[in-house]
Amino acid sequence: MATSATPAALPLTRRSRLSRLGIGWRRHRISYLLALPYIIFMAIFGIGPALYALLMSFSKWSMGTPQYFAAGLDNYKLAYGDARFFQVFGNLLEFLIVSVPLGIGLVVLLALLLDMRPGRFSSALRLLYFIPGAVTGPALVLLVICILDPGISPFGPIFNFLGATNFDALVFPGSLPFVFTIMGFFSGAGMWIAIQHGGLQGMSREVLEAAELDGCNAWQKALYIKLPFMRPYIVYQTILIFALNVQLFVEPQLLTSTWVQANVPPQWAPNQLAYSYAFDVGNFGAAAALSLLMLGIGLAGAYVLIRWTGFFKLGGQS
Amino acid sequence: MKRALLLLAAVVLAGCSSTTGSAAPKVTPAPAQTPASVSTAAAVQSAVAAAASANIETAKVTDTTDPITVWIDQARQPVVDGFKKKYPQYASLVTSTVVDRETFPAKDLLFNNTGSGWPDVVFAEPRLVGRVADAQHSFPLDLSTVVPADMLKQYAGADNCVFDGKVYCLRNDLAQMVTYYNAPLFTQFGYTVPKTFEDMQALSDQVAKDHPGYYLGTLGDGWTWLSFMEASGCPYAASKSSTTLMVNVADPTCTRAAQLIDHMVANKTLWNTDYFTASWVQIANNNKLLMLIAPIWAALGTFKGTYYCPCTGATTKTTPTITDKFLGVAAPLKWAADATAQTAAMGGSAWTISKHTKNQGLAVLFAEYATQDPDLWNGSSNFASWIPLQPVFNAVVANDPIFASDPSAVFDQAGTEISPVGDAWPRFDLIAPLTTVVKDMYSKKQTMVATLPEVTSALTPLAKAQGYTVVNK
Amino acid sequence: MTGQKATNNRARSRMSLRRYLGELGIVGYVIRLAILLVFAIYFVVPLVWLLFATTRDPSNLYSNWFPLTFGSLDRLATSWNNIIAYQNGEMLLWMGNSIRYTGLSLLGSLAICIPAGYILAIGHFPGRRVLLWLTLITMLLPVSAMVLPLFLELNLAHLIDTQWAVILPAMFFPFGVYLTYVYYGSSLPGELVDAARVDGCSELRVFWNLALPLGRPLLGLLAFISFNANWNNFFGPYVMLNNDKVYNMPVGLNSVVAATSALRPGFNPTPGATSFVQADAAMAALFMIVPVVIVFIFSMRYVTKGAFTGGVKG
Repeated sequence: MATSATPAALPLTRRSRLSRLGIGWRRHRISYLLALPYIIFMAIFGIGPALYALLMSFSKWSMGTPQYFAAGLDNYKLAYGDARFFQVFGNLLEFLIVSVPLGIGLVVLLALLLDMRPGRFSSALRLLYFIPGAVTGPALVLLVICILDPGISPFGPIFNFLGATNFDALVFPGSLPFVFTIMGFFSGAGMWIAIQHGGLQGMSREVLEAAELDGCNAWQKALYIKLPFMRPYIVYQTILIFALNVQLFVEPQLLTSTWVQANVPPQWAPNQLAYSYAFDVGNFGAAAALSLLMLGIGLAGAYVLIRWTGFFKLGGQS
Repeated sequence: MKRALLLLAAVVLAGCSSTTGSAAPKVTPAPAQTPASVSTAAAVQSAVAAAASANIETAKVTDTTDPITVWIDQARQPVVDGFKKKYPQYASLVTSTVVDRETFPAKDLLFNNTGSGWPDVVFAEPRLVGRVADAQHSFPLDLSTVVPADMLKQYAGADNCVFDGKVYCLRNDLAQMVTYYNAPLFTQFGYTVPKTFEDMQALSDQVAKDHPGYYLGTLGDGWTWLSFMEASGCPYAASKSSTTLMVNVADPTCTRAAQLIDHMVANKTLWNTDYFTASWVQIANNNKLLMLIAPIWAALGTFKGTYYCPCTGATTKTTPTITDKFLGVAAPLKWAADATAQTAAMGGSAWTISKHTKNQGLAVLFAEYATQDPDLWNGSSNFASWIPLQPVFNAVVANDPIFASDPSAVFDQAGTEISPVGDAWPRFDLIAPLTTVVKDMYSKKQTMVATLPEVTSALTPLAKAQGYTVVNK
Repeated sequence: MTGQKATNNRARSRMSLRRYLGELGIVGYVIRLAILLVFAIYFVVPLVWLLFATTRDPSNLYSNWFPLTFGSLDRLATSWNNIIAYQNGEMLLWMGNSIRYTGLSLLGSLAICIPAGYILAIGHFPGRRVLLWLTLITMLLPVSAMVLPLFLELNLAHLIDTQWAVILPAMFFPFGVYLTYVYYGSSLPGELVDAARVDGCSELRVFWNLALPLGRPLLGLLAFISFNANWNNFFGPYVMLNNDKVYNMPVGLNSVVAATSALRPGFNPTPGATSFVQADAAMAALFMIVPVVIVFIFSMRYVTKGAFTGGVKG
């Protein structure tokens, strides 16, 4: 296992070595130089707006003019007291519970299955899985609306057989976590399969051959040797998928638009509720407050994930 | 003879070029299905000429340098083109942008924050104008200060544009609902057209018994739900003031409409989608549509464009081709116990002008042109709000062979019966939440009577977020 | 028995079928194949349907028992013409915009991400940990919180309704920084960097002569992910752009479908007028998808042999 040291472990060991070498201010200067463009862009398009949002969350708006700090905690109270508050977070939680494990499990399964017998067939399949990644945003919603309409869907006969004869029988509030999971998996899984599969190909042949000599069959190899090897990539994927899925917005928003008329509550995800505060009501303060609550919850989730998986070892360093 | 031909050509061309729709993003007028007779052309033309006598004043455009931006939907492009043609001196000052007007209130808030960027003229329904009229949005110009009072009086349905006593828009068209029926089928089956909802319920039993598979209407979204509820006077969302909203679905008027819906869902004479889904269009295309409560623009738009036609939108290869006297139009149904009928409206748009505009005169001129120009409106599938234009529409429909009889009197009458509930929308979208209520009923296999309380729970948080106090009486 | 024959045919493949079957078992073989093929159907059939949909009238779409049929070339031509002609060729304008926005955002984001991710992985400077945390936080920032502040900023700079309102925010790409960080953190041998430093290479030279060449697989993957994110960038432009002349493809596509209601047959107007149906919407969607598919096919190998092959570590 020494050859497959986890990426997580590496930076730590190297850093202690570097410390011993001693690094002077000149090196730091160049470090900052390399990071400078990023720091500038982060300040302008990331942290700056976020800090302004924090300020907004304590402010009141009247006719488009903010009165800073005039609201106190009112915006937070308003968001928390809204009947939809727990609904939207409950919806998001359901979606995360369905989409994150299912997405990762299936990606890992498919990558392992493909890797059992590398060759032209596997490569061709991998490309097929990959191509739907080109379909996202409005195009994805448009496609999914057609695919989930049993009247015209290529899977129509299957849907009819299962007793779903119209769009509303497939898309309703209870099914939405699954609908969004299927949408996301359709367009996102291919890339992750390719990445995971690519990672597997970097695995040392000797280890696999040694396992074969020990009498491992293909399933055992997958389970006991390849899967542990994939762990860091799985963790990386988990964190990114989590970060992306917490942001769910475009898909439910488009599903509620007038040209779809789906059975989706006007505000299904927290992002939508915040958007509605801002742009339906004009209460930018409440929108910011809700968004920051979301950020807090997202960060807590990410922190748990990072701690739990031991990846991205920020806490233990420097 | 030569002159008559010229007139005919003018009418046909005008019919092709002018495009006006309503809530439907893409409802364009029908070019005459069969070549209009010369006398038809003459009738329409004289109506146009009469309407043209109500002049638009151009004198008030004093500023000729500041440009204006006009937000439209795709179907309104001919308005901009027509304006530039009629007023070439201002053509370079008018920029148009095709937008999704549902985002208009949101964008307005962004512009308020930056203090710039507002469009000058926006095409939007009064319900959207209401949403930008509150203190946060503070968008529209009070038109009572710039448009003469006697001109404002000539807009039918202008009340929808009045918020807190200020006139915030000029109505483009009215979209009152009427009762459409399939005249040949009614004759064939020997049915009489219902006059009351009680008649309709009795007819539904008869259809269910004698001709199962034929439909008397559809209920599948907020709009189709409104078509029943507002006709019954149900106060499901009645603005009592700018801060109080009455949501009272326990009212007997709501219950009786819900009971009718349940009855017709149970005997399978009411389909379960909105007007525009493939499955409903298929029913119409298969000639199983007997009767439908639908807005006025559906006659020349949807019925002629999709339900009965050899057209690209058809979902079957056996779509019945329109024959003469196909489409019957009857007055809005009323409840036997009520003194008068009420009817819902679906869409019916307006033009609103920004209070931030730098060229008020030009903006107002544009809005007046868009709502009043007879050449622009000739052949439109919409029922103009500008009263002098209504004869133009009436002349068009009176001579359109699709109708079983001249529908103009029915259309005019329905225009006066628009329900006051539907007239004053609160400051949030009602359709999306109501649609989920209707769809929930189907997915939970419940009755509408049992589902009515969901209306309250769906609308209350939206109303509260807008600062309303929700009351139930 | 069939296996025997097949073995001869495929003897040259990397693992003989016989050995492979032995390892997997017949049942395992069938299960594996079944799962892979079911997912192939899941991923591919909708796209094939979309291709065919551009050739099918609603009457064909709704009344065919077999959902994957070819309509007619006429309909295909109509769909093509309708989309090309939409608002005097706006679709082509939007495609040009999308290509420009995506290209510039891509170049910008790479130029920013790679040095930053590299130095976060390899460097040891005060503030590094803070920067990593901020990267994570900005990855999680809800769009709804950012819209107004970003709009105000861009307005201050007079960039609303210009291409820069899309490009500049997209150049800030914390996901890319994180990916670069993970890549160099996991696959750049520390010994190599140390050796180079001991040899007196400046930090910049180490980056330029060692890290960048070794980062070629990363560059491919990163460019791919950035391309994908930018080509499909919907929400930012949706808020920042009010002028249809500067729309990108996703915003344009949304406006086409919203403005024409191509998905709602009943909205279709009268005979004679250009009426949009599903075929046209499908064609519009293909306009957005096809360029990406082409990029995908060419960039597949970067993703596969991408950041995680661990090649450089040997």
